[in-house]
Amino acid sequence: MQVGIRSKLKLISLLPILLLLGFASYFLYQSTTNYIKGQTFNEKMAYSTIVNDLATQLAKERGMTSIYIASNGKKIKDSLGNQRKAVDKQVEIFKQYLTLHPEIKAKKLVTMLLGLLNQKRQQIDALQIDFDQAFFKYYSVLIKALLDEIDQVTALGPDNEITNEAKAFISFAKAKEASGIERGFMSYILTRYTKMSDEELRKWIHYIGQADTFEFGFINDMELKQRIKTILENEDSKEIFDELAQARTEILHSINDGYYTIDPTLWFNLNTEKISILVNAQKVIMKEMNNKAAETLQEQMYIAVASGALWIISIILAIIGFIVSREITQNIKNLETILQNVAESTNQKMDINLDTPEGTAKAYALLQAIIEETRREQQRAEEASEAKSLFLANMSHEIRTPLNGIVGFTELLKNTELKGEQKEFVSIIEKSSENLLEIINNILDLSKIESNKVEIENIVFNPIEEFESAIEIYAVKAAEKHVNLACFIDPRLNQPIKGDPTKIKEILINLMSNAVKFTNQGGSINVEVRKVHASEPDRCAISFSVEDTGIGISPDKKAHIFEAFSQADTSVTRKFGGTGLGLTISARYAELMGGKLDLESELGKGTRFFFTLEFEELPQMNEDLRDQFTEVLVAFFTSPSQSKKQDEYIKEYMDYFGAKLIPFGTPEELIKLATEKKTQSALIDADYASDNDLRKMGKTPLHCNVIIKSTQQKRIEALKLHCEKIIYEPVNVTKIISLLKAATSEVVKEVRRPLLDIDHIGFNAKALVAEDNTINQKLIKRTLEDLGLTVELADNGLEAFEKRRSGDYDIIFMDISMPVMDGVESTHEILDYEEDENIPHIPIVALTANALKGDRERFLAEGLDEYTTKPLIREEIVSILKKFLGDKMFTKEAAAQTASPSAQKAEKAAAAATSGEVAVSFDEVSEETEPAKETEKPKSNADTILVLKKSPLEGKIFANLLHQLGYKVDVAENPKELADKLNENVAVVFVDKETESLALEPLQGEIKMSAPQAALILMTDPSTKVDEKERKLCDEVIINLVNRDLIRLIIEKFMKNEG
Amino acid sequence: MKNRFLLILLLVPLLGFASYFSDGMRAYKQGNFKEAKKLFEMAVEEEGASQAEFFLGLLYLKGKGTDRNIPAAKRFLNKAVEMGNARAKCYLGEAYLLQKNPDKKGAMKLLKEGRGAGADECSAIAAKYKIPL
Repeated sequence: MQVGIRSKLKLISLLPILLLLGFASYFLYQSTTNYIKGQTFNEKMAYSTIVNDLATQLAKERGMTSIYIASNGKKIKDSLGNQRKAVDKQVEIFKQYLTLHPEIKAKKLVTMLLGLLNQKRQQIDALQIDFDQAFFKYYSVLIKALLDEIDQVTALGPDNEITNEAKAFISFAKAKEASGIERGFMSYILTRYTKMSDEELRKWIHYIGQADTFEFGFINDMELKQRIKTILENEDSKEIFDELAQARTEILHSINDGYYTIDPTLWFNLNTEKISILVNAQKVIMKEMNNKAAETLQEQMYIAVASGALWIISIILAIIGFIVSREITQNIKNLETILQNVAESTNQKMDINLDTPEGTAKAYALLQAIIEETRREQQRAEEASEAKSLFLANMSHEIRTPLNGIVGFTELLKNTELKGEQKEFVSIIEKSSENLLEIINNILDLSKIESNKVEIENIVFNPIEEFESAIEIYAVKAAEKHVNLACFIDPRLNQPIKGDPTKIKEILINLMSNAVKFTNQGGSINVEVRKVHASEPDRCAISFSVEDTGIGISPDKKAHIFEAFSQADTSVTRKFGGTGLGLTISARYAELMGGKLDLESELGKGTRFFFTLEFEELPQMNEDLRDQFTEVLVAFFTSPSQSKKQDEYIKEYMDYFGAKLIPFGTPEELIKLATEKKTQSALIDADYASDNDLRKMGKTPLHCNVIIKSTQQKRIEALKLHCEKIIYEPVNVTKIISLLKAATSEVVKEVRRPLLDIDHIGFNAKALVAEDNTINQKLIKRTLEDLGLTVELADNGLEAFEKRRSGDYDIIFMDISMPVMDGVESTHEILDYEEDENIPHIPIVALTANALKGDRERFLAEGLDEYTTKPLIREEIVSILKKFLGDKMFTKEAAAQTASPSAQKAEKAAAAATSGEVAVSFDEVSEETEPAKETEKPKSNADTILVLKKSPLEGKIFANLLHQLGYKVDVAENPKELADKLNENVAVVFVDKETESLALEPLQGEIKMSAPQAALILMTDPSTKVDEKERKLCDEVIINLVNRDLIRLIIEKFMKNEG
Repeated sequence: MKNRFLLILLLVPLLGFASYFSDGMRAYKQGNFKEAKKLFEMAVEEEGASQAEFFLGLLYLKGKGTDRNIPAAKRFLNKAVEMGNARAKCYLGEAYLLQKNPDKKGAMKLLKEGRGAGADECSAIAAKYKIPL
């Protein structure tokens, strides 16, 4: 059976640890055993020492006893008594030791003989026991038993060295004992002084052999050996051993007659000295043994502790190893499960088993396959996303073109004479299409952001001007909703900065749009733009804040508020409308500009959106008006009942400019101030004052400035106030400066140039518009003509170039995609021409429906001077015109005087609010007659439309359509019939290019001959190409589509004089 | 082995044990009793050799190296007996027989004890003085 990877892993990880654990356990056991052994041995040593001492003392007693017995109790009685006491003392120690150490059991023989000691002594004292009985049969047996005890307990030391030393110790002990016996026995013989019996002689010789046999050669410790040698072999010892040998010899020489030449006392002393040498040697050994044993014990203890530690470590390691291996196994198992799931999800029937190399290889292959699949899917997703973005961009473009028509013509339609209901319908169409346009723009913006096609511009702009204009846009809407709109733009922002004003304005507009949308009547919106501390000295940080008292956002919804398609509540969308994309776009824009759009909100109390951006600040170019109006005193009407944020802002503005506000509460106070000539002007918020008060205050001789909401215009007009100025809410820097200037200069009627007063601006200039689409042509023409320009049209790039060559213009608007010659090509031609002829350049503005990233750069690189998107935005056109035709600009103030405010559109009111003057009416310019077109036919009464289509059915449908539009229609089935039907009543001829046997040239000749007033319009398929020749033969070439508006426009174009 | 040991002991050159007693013994064994007596006296005085007293008693008893002096012999021999010298008993017994008032009973007791302790002299002395043991 094959061992699985998991088992191998376990084995590899656990085996060494288990081995380590085994060794550690063995060492621990061994060292512990050794330690215990060592300790036991130490105890045994102590015991041996006691036993040895006892043996020594007993031997002395025995020797003395032998003399005592030999002398029949007459000699050394006292010494014996003392010795017995010494022995008793030693016996006591011995017994005590035994009771203290119950684990040590003395041999029964020893205890028994010791028990006999006193009895034997009594017998000795009474001389009832003979020498042999006492000496050999009692004392010697007892001492031998004691020595055996020592021998037994010390036989096995904790190590070899100690064991050897113990052996030496025993050897000395035995020699000592034998010497003792020799001493006692021979003392007895020498004292008796008779011949030794054979038995006695044998005994003596036996003991001599033992008494001189001591071995220590096997001691390993050289030092100890040397010390023993020193004890045994020093001069004194040598002498003693020599003397002892001589004494023995002397005795042996006299054994025959029994006249021993050695005195027993001498013998006794001599032997005693020898014994003391042996005792000394013994002591040295014992001491060494004790030391060694203690050392060994300590060593063993260290080893035991170390191996204990090792054991614990290996146990811990084993546990860790076990846990880790289990974790790894578990991980592998989990991985297996996941891979199994993956395999199942990819519909691959495979059994994942990571335990075998094949299984692992399979798993790797699976992973590889999944990675590849993911990559493919990602690529697919990216492609899809790109396609989606492109589709969105294209779609919105495609939608915008017709929508442009709807918006444009609705605007035109609105200004025609409509009946009551019609007006309402048209305004609904207008609102709806505007909304639709906004939604489409938002979607386009978002898709641009999402496909990273948004570019942040870095142009120089005047922050106060730009931000004020953005805020003004919502002034009217706020006023209509009776919402207090207050605006504070830091007057310190008077230097131009570099950034993308369009995007910032868009954010502000979005935020304000929301604020207005979600704030109820009587609420307030405060917009604050403040200069804050920047990170670098030459930069300028601006914090933007839009605060409302609207419905607020609950905390849980805050997190998602900036996500696309996630307005706080879907019910909110239903109630208030909108796509909810505004915030998403704003947040992304803020992010792109290096800021972060954030909000704080309380449900039901309102919301504050804020963000901070940093800009590059340009050196001072504008005059700083700080503290320039210190002499100005302005009476400021305040009301304790009402307090608008605007009041605070006004105070702040005044503080900055150095003007002083004198608050007053009643008209009487103002009159008093006026009579005392304390102030030159007064500032009154119409919201605070009643009509009566206003009237009273208006009568003062002061420059009276009234702040009103744009909706209150009628009220103020009705009061017929003697007013210096009407200031529309919100009050801003420009309005304050204007007020202050008026107050200081006394020049009342100073004409100020409005900031964005596009409705009053006109340009004395001639423009050429190259555009293939007739609808667009008409719209652009109308827009430009509204602005006072004279407009010439060109249908394609070539025509434009030719017109440029033959005529002189101030500006050219150039569509990019046109038939025959496109805008870019045409521009190249014009530029070449201008260069060749060395004539001044006419600015060329690109018109394009494409609003994609990089377009602007591309067109500018191609030699175009500016770029604008279709549908045309008035403001944009005006700013472009301002840029290129600034010198030809004039204001249309005179016309403004007659306009009726009620006819104004909301936007216009806003614009008017900016200026504080009455706006111009659109009607005035809308009904201008179109300038004559070059290709136009002579006037006639022709009213019939001739149609020739490629099939009779198509012809019928087309005719029906024209009929519905209210025209007289005649259908021809073939070119021949068409030619027959041509007469002076024919105004327009529609010819399908695909009609069988159609020859354009002869047809055109026919028309010229039979119906010179008629226009020839060629209808083509979008796919077919129209060559230049054909185009020249016809008055107009249109795409073969049934589009009522288009057809009507075209027909109108050629029939306009018929009404 | 024991015999070999004994042989070694015997082979040790007889340098003569350096003590008054040993010297006295040597003089005694050579028959130089006067010298022996002097040395034994020295041994008693200097070494406290108990057996020297035995030999002094013996010299006084036998009148060797000095005049026979039974009381002196008795005094020295008595001391030797007290010490445990078995031979001294025999000679003290002889002294008891040789004194002015021979004490046969005392002598017999001493001779008996001496013989019991292994001193052959007692049998010889008993035979010499016809004392039945």
